[in-house]
Amino acid sequence: MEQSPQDHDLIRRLLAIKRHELPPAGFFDQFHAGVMGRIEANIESAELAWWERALLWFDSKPIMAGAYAIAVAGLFVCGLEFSQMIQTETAELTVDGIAIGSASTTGPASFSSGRFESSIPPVYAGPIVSASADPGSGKIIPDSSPVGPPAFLFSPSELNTRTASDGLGAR
Amino acid sequence: MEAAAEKTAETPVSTDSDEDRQLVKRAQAGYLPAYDELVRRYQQRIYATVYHMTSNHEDAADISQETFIKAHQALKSFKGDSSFFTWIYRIAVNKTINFLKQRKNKIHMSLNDLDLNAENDPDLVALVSEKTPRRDLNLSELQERLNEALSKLSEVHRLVVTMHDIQGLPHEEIGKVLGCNTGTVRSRLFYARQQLQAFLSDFIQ
Repeated sequence: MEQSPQDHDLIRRLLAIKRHELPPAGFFDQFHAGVMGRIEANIESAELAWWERALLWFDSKPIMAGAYAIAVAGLFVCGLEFSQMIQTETAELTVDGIAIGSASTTGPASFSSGRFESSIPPVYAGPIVSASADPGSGKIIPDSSPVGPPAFLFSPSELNTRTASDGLGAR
Repeated sequence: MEAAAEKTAETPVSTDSDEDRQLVKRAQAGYLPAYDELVRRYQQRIYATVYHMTSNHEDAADISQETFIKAHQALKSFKGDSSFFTWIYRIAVNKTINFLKQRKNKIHMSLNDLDLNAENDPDLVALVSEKTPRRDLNLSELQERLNEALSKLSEVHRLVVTMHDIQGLPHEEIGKVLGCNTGTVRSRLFYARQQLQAFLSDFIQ
């Protein structure tokens, strides 16, 4: 198709219509302010410490912040469970290679199945006795004499108690 | 006649000045009001180029803003080999072309932003009523067809038409921005006009 200069002139004049396509009134008054605002924000964020930048990042992306919080909470729960498993396994106590029982060492007390259970071994309420091993049989023979604090400690009448004023009357 | 028309289209654009250089130097030293002044100076031209390339107000606003922010970040690397205008124009053009590549097949024609004064422009009214075979064609319809035709051009051809025929940049300046010689700019312009002529043949005698 042969093109005449007039054709191009017409196209040029048509294209000139596009010069009238303008953004809404006042657009350029706000545009440069928006640009400068973002530049200032970039400069300020560059001067912040890493944790402040991270907080800003989380502020701008709440979904990501929530996801990270869930992930951290999940890791914490997993870590807790894992540490309990390890403690239970190591609670298999052995003395001289013989397992004498297992005890939960997860804590002094726990509440499971609606029952309060203490993991602290029960205190022996009977008289404290000493024991010695029989070298011949290897059995443990308890001594007949009880071992414990002197009896007078629990007999107030036998205690030699003196008050601070006791000696004053003698003078 | 074409030569005369070419001359009128190449409206002299002050693209470089001592004042610009001073502002750039002060902006490079970290003085933000100087950069603000540069933004004010070139925001309309940058916006217009991006707008005519994208045909969408929101996209044009976003890309223009990104252009000025990117330019500020790279301002330290600006050596002054070219004018600040050419340099920032190049950033805008690259950003726009990248955007258009990503946006392929998603074209928004925004005709609502047409300045109302255009309808009162006697030249345009005469152009529509006399030069087009369809007398009932109104300005908006013609503009829609024009935008459609422009969108069919390749990015480089649309860019040359936008910069020269719409914005009135001289061939030399376009060559500097696009990194090609004046002859290439002229041939691209000629080809783009031919294409537009073909696309609009049923509207233009």
